[in-house]
Amino acid sequence: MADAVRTAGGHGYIAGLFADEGSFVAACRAARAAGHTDLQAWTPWPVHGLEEVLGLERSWIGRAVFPAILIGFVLCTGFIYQLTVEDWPVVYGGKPFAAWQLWVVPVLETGLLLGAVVNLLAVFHTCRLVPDPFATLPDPRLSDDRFALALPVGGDAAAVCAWFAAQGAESTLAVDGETALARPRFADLPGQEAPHA
Amino acid sequence: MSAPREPELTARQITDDLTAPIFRLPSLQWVGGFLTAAGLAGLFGLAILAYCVEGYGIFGVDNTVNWGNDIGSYVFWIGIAVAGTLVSSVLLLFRQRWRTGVNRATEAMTVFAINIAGIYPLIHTGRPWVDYWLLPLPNDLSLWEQFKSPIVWDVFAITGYATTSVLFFYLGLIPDFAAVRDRCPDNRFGRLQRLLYSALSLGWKGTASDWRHYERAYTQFAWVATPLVVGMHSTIATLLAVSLVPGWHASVFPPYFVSGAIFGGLAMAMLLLIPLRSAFSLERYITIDHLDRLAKIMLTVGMIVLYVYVTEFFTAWYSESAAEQGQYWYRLTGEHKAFFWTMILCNVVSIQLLWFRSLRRNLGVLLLVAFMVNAGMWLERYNIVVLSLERDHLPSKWTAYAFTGWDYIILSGSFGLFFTQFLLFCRVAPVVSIAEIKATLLRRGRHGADQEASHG
Repeated sequence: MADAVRTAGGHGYIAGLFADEGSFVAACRAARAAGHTDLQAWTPWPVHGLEEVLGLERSWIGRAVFPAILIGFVLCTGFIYQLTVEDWPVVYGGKPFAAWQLWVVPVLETGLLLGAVVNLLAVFHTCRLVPDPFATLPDPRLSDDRFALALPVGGDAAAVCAWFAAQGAESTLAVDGETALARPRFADLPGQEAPHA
Repeated sequence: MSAPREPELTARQITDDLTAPIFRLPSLQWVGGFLTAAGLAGLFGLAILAYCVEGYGIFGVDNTVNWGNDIGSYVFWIGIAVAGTLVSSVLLLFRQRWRTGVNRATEAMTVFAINIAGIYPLIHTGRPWVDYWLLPLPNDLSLWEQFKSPIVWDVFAITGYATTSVLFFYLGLIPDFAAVRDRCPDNRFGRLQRLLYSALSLGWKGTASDWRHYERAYTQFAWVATPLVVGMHSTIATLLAVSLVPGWHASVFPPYFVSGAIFGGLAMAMLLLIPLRSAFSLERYITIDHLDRLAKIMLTVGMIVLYVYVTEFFTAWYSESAAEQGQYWYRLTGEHKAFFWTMILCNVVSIQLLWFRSLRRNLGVLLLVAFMVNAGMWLERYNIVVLSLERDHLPSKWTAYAFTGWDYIILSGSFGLFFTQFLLFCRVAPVVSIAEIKATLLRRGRHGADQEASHG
């Protein structure tokens, strides 16, 4: 079995495929309790609390968006100041050139828009989302009703497969470890039912 | 004898149900609806073409009522756009899990309504070929926009809101596009579909880490969109309120416009959701409970709108301004009083039916009320924009505005364009968020009814 994993996966990761969210989360918890830190998990919908179970840190995206909003405020204020005070001062309704109270709406809108754009770009960057017409998951059920947890083999693939079976996994797959975080490549282990069925 | 209980939903069943319209041939109803809507959308294009050839004179506006159908309809469509984001983001921020049944359709409604709304002011400029002057671009004349003018605020508000709405809508669609991608049939057309949905889903993998960032970003979009949407419609209201025209010069306008927009938008959402759930067999996802809750919110904001109507009249009376009083008296008794009283019938009287639970859960009644509120909200904008201008401070300028044939064409065409987009959307994307509804329904299944009750 271990040879098969090395042949199929190349870098020694095995993923257990779960049909039930509860068993999957329990398996994640058990894997963490067993000392595994190098885990990867795929779910078809957001499983709340999974990040704590897997020991993932809180997303950093929030820390990028708030400064982006502030930068938007400053840039728009500077822009309007340059236009209406420096470049083209016009007396309008007797108001001062730098009537900042009247800039609130465009400044607010620009800041929030910049925040929204940065938010989207940040999630594209962190999730490595790029238009890829050939991107696909090898097991289509991972975006439907199956969950997967990948563990490093650490030498004894049979033990890992047995561990997954004990956790309630319905099948196991070999995963290319180098790409486990980016583009997972799964391969069926010999002697198992194909997961695509 | 109790009714047989429906089998419990599974994740597979949910995916099948929600992706089915994408993979099967369109029904005759859909084709009929689409052709009708597309025909009207064609008329919309024809009206714009006629306007470009003949000029702004083809519409009914004149020197007195220089804001007519186009600005009234613009505010109407913006209002529709407001409600979609509010349903989606505000309910998300309040952790109302039931929103997952309706948020996708309302977000789509927002995107389609705002692009129609955006067309009207571009027409209204009279010289659409120089509309880019609205943007602060360097130019040979060294002229810049006047940032002290609410008209310029409006440009920023609409641009910012439209962009954010589209981004928010698309972000929500990414995991669902991946689910569609992985279910494309293995035939020639299916492979083409897979190529398209693979590109649209941007290689979405759905790892735990992806979901962590995605959910954070999605919630943040809600935080950003909420002030943006309230600010945008308040800006449009301010555009009117800072003028001296009787009927516009009121500080109550921003909250009035925002509540009115939610009111009209929810009515439009119901007008879309009720036929949608029947046409695509989505009764288990867009339930009577969803519609009941939407109706309750609609009733609440409708009563706020009623309060503002009363406040307007009270303020006009209390102001002792002859022009203000004359304006509101004109609405009640003037040449176009039928518009005002029809508005009251639609926006105030009809919604009183929603106090009764049995009527809130009756689809026919809901459809009727939703239709009436939509008509009433369009008339409200007509009354505000047109009737105020018909009777301003100068009696020698008073006039009576009337639609021309092109006004009717462009108005009906805008509805055609809206429904064309929505019908197309129903065929290319899941109309209910697959990932979100699974997370909600299947969690409910695991933790029982107590969980549902605690989440409303």
